[in-house]
Amino acid sequence: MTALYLQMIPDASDDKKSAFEEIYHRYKKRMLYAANAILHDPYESEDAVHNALVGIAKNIDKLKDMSERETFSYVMRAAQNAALSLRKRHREVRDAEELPEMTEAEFFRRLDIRETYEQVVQIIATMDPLYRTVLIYYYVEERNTSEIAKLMNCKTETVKKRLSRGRNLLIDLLKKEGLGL
Amino acid sequence: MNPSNRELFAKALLEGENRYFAAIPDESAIDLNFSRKFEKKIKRLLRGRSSGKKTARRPIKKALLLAAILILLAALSLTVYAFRESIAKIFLKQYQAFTRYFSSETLDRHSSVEDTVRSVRYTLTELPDGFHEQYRYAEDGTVNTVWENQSGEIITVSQHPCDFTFTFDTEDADLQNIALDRPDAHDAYRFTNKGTVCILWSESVYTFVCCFSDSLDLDAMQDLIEHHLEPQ
Repeated sequence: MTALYLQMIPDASDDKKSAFEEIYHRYKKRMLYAANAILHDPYESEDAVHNALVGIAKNIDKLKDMSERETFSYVMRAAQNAALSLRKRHREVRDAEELPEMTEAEFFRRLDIRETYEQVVQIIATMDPLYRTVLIYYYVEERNTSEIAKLMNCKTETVKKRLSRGRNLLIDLLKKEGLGL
Repeated sequence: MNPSNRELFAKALLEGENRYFAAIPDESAIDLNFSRKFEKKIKRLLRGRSSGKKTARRPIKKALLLAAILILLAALSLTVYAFRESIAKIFLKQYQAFTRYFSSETLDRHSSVEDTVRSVRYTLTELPDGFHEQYRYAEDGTVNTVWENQSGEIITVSQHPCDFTFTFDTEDADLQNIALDRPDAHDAYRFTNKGTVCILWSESVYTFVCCFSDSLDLDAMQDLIEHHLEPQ
């Protein structure tokens, strides 16, 4: 399997091949675990890991300057993303879809991040990866919605809705924790 | 919007994600496993050898390699649930960057069917002039064969005797539902992507994928598939 992925790396040097093999051996089970947490199906999760590895093989150059922590995050995000792409629509979380959309300006007007930082971190750690991932691509990696749509295999409009609902979900959960916003 | 709030929010996002990832157990503590088929392929390929016949007559050209990758990718994204006795209902789902071709049924394993299925290997009994077999991989009833001519044009046939999920890169592909003149053939599709035409369909207990260079005559190739793909 690894040999196959390595053939996808154009003009792959031995260094790149080694880097990919190391990633594969170091993270494969955690990738499967992360995918299965979303799909709850070992066969589909295996498909997701496969798709994630194809993406990683194609972008192996991007990983060469990353720290171990960054590489881990990149690989796990790839596995989550692949799983989210495979997750069937009816199995998607509904909690945030009931909420109205929220503009970025409104979000930052209501979010007192300095006062609620720890609670925000904890909510992000436990929120559905569908919303966490889109928020990270947008606010941490500073990608535009078109780039995110391509990464997440969905329409730009869907990315915008997920961003808005993710913001609203965060505010809603903070309110439920008794933090007046 | 206060830029510093945005920066702080980005920091919180990253910290939250790290906290989530940190809660994932270490590799050695995870009780999930890849399927036996998936693991077998990994082990064999890491060792750098194949259990199937491999007859490269000369260094593999880039086009051939790409074709082999295409076929193997299809095979490796195969999820084996069980062998089947009856024809499963096939679904095709298109996403932005790829297409999934899959059976909806949950099926039980039947050893008698499995034995029969494993023993049958389909191949093209006629080929366009100048084509020779360059590569063959066979395992557990899965057969992938690649033929090539002097010009570097390729033909590949991939046979899978089980329930499955195929995932194809069809981001820039023109995917069409087609009629295929083969007994029992159903759910046939054709797409062209990166200089290669692929036709996939289900038939009896098998799913087939045939890919070929788009420089080859499409009608002639479809005729070969319809009338000259036979059990050996």
